[in-house]
Amino acid sequence: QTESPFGGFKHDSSAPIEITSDSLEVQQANNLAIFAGSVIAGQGTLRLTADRVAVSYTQDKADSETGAIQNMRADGNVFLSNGAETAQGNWAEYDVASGMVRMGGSVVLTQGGNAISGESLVIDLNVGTGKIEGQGSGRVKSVFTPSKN
Amino acid sequence: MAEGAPPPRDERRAARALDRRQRSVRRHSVIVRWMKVLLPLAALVLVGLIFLQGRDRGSVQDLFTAEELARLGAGLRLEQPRFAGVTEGGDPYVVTADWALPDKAMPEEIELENPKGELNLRDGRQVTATALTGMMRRTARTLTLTGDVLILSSEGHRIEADELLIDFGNRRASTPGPVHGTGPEGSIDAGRFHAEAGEGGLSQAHIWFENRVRVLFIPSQDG
Repeated sequence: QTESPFGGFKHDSSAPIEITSDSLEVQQANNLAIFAGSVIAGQGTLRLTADRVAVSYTQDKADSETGAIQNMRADGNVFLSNGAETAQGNWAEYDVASGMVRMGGSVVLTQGGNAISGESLVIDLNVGTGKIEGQGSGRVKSVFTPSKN
Repeated sequence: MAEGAPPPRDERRAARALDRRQRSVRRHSVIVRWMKVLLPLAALVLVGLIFLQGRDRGSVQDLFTAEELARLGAGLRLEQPRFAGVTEGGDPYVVTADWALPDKAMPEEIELENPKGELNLRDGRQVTATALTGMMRRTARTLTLTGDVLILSSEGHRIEADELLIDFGNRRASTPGPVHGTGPEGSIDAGRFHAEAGEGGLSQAHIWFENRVRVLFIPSQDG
């Protein structure tokens, strides 16, 4: 387990959020909204791109308006970055209540010139730390580029 | 204002931990709310659908009074038609127009000039829909609103489209072209929109925004 300072991932959550995609399907019956086709979501310096992002939300019982998001699941070419650090993998899941982002499927985390790869990555948005876990077969490979100076 | 001795170290640490937790809760609540912009906008368009939903069992006949039908039946133009009703959900609505022109006696199509619909939801919200022209097709049971279609809600939501097709029978609404929606929380743009209210009405709705979609959410400061 390699814990790396992920300070950068604490993002400015009051900044506007913009999401673009080819399509958006909302299934009120399943409390589900699916952005599909080159999905790009950005907030401040935080940027997520993926082939598909599904958002599940709670529906206020009081009326048919929708309540809070419960979690977001991104699938296919998932790329998360905050300008300085990037994390990519085949899928990512963000659980809002716990503030945890999980990524899986040949994950590569880059910070500055350094890249660490592993099986899965867990980012704790509360404190902004990321842990690469290489359990199972994959060894945690880290590719460090010798610094120039 | 002297608070007496400064709180012992562990109390201060506990206070800091609490503060951090509160900040993280606040941070999540903002993210948690980002969806708010998207679905009320989609829901709003469906509210427009609902107010016509009341018609799905009804037909053009009960849209107009007997006297109006007689005039329409005779192929005569109806000035300032005004018809009111209650949606399936029990919300009162009123539809007015400058005039309504049937295509022939026992009309298949009725053209409406400057149609305007107002829906008052029991929870106090109000929705109005206006367009330059409307075309009601009897057997198809559809209403096509064309030209500056504008849906406004009392909560500050605004949806604009060039054309909106409402299919009473199948409880569907769609725009062949672009749709632009804004609300206090942000905005949504899409190249096309269609929605089905589903059996259970709005809470079962199925909505598609297609041909490139852009959602912008502006978190309010209260987070």
